[in-house]
Amino acid sequence: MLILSFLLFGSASFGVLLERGIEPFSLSGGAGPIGMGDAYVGVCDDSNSLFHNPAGLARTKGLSVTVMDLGNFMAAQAYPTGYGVSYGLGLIRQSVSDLDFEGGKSEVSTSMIVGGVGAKLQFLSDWGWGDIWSDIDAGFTFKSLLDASLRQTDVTEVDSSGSGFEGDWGLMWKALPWAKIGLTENNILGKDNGSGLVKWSSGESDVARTFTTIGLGLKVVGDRKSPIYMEDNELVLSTDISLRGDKPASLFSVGAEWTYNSTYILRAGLKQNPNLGDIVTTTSFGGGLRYGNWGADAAYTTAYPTKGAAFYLSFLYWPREWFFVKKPAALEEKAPAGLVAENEENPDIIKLNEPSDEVYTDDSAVDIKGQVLKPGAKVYVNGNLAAVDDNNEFSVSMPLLIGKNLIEITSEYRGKKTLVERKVLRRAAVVTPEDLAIAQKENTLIKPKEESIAKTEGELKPKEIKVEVAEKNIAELEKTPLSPIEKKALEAEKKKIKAQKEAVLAERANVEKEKQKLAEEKKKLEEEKKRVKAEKASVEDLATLGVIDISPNKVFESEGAITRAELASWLIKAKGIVVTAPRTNPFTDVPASSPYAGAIKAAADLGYMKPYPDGSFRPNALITEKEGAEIIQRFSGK
Amino acid sequence: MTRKIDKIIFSFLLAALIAAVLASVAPAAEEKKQGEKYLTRAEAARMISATDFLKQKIGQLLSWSIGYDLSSINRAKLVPTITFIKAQPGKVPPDGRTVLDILVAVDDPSGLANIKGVRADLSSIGQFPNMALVDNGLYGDTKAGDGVYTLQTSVKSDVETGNKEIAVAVANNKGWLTLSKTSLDVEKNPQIIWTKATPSVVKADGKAKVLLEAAVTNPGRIEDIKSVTVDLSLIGGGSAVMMKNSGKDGDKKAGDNVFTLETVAPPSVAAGEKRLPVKVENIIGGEGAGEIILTVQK
Repeated sequence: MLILSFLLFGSASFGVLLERGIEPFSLSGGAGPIGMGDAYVGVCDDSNSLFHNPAGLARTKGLSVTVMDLGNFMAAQAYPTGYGVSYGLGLIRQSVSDLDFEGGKSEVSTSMIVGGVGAKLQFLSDWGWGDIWSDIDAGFTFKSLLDASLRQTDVTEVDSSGSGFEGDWGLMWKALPWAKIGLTENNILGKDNGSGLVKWSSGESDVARTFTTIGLGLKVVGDRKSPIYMEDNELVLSTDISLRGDKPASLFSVGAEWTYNSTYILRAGLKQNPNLGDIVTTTSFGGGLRYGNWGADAAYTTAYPTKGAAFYLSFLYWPREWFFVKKPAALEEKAPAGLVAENEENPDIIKLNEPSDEVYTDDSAVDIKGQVLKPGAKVYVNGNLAAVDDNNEFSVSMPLLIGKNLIEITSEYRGKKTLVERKVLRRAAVVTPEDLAIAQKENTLIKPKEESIAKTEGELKPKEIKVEVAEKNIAELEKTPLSPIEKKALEAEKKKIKAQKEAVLAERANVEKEKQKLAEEKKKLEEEKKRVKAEKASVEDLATLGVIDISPNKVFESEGAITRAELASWLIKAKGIVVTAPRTNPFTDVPASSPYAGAIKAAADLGYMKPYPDGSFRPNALITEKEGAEIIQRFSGK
Repeated sequence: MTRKIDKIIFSFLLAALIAAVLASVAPAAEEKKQGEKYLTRAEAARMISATDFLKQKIGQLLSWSIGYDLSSINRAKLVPTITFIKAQPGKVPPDGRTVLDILVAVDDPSGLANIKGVRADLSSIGQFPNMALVDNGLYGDTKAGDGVYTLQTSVKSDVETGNKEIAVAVANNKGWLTLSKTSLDVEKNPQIIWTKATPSVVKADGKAKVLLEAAVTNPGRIEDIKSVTVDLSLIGGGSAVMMKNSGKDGDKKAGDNVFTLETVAPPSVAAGEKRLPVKVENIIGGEGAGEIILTVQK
């Protein structure tokens, strides 16, 4: 629970709270973090991130309620939007009694509401700013002290009451799969705009101090990504260093959390607390239990400034699907690129190598490849069991539907299940006569030329080497003393080699010329391919939507004229209208048994296409460009 | 006559003219089309795609946040299937030599040629945990390529008796896997399944013959029965008289599972119901017991 962490402020100060060792706007919370000595800035893996490092919100969700007693409780929730952004909302109620005050013991009560937002900065990577951003999250917290009251103990009247607001920001960097670094700056809003102060009805005010905290969280024992692999065990070590402008200049805290079988948790921590300019170190202990989506944590420590023993109890809940608010479809459409729904939960059992998420393809199947990190685990892809080989690797071929494909990769290990999803869009592959012509050109012109050039080059290379070697040998011989006969013979040899070299050079020039020519032809062909691809893009879009039926291994005559029946069928399918065969012949020349009868009748009924005055439809008649434009105009309603 | 010919020619010309006019009028509608180009399929697709409605649909198609729901999961069955799996015989002695056949009939959505292999975990019967089954017509497999994979093995002698499971995995070339299992009983002891005395009542005169029969079963082969004995001491005979399976002396068929003995009750035997103990032993030291009930009359 822990609400405000009441840190004793040691230097000479003014203000109702500060004079009693209570630092306004300081946050801490959750029995888990408290059990680790509050060394949580570099850990932050639950909704209590709201109170320690708002950047941690980006990858958490759920609810945490912490209680110390009736006057001291706290709640925090983290709500992921699905776009890499999570919102947090927290409530704190704090009551501290037995504080020294003029006229006797006094009691301070505060109520604070905390709002936060955490975001993955992965979208910066998607924008090409570097891969590092995919491991960095950022967050901001707004803290509003709604009500603070001071009164003498056992006296009903309030001596003074106050309120104020402040803000924190934080960063979290997953530097290694097992190491996280957190950075927070607290009370950043300053005092110019009325923030950073608790204004009291007595006229006094409390000033919030700005300070920076750096935290490190290391999962030293865990799965294969950790330095030490221990089945079913995890050990997280953490430390926070808080840098402050006043005395003491810095405060340290360290913590450890050991988890067994993802169920049983033990924690311990040491924390430095400021005490009138000095430092007092306190210990804390804690434990926790996890069962399914539920958890409970307990912690024991010393509370400041009262220095009394404090026992905290937290209840946690992690919903599998967060269902408080359903995302409106319109919002989904507007989701910016890069901020995609987080759908990878606990990827510890398997490591998925292929495919990446959000893949376009025109292949009829996609390979799902990965590695099992827990030997003996089972892997299912869309409910089908994948074979895992002796190297703990799996590779399956998943057939794709035309259009959108959601692929669910489920892994099971000792009753624990994890799910990874991949989105794949399979576009219909349309083969046009132009594609065939290009393929033919490639096979009959390009490939034979490539082979011919390769062959010529293969034959030429030894000749070139031979000439080169001969030239070297002649050069060597020329350096040695030779008899006139030998000189003559050498000259003859030189002439011969020179002739050979000229022939080889001429051959090489020819080859290079051929290569250049081939490169130009290939370039032209690539341009042709691009043009054809662009031209058939609309056909592929409509085929992917199911508007145009594309038969596998059949050429789509894209440049052939369209018939009235065909166009009627396309229009009706494009509208998403499902038609059935009519009972009677819709037109004199369209029998009810015609595969186009339903679409023709619907197209005529909807006014997209008009029948002829003689009662016929002429389904096989070709459509002129002008008629087509009129039909499409009616179809589009313009 | 000439006039008539003129009329005919005139009529013919008129008819030809009318035909020509009609011919020119009839394709008038077509003529309009001939002036223009016909709409190609590619152009029609472009025009439909350019409408606002289709633009929206195509936008939705390309959106990663719409439409990826349960309906977009391809639920096609891709794993191979096991149509039957059998271990025979169902009861096997732990002798390391009785042949145990594992038979697995498989199929695959892409055909039998897509089956990569069938493997069995035989660790429960003391063998290797990853043994390949074959469909090649050899090593006990009756027919190659019929989809029935076979493995011949035996239960090691150090395996404890009881029910044993054998897990089988079938993988196909596309990386999919199916698991199944069968079970067998590892048993050491033979059993006596029924006994009979014919006639069931015999006179104690030393002359009237009685046929004693005991039907037995043995884990593995019946040939591995070492002995079936009956204790005739209650009717004045030996304490472990061998029963036969030879097809002679009252035994109906040699080599079956029924063991037989023909005997008499001497006059010295007292009247009453006699329970004659029967014991069966096999070559691996397994034993079974039963009794034959015979009533003796004076």
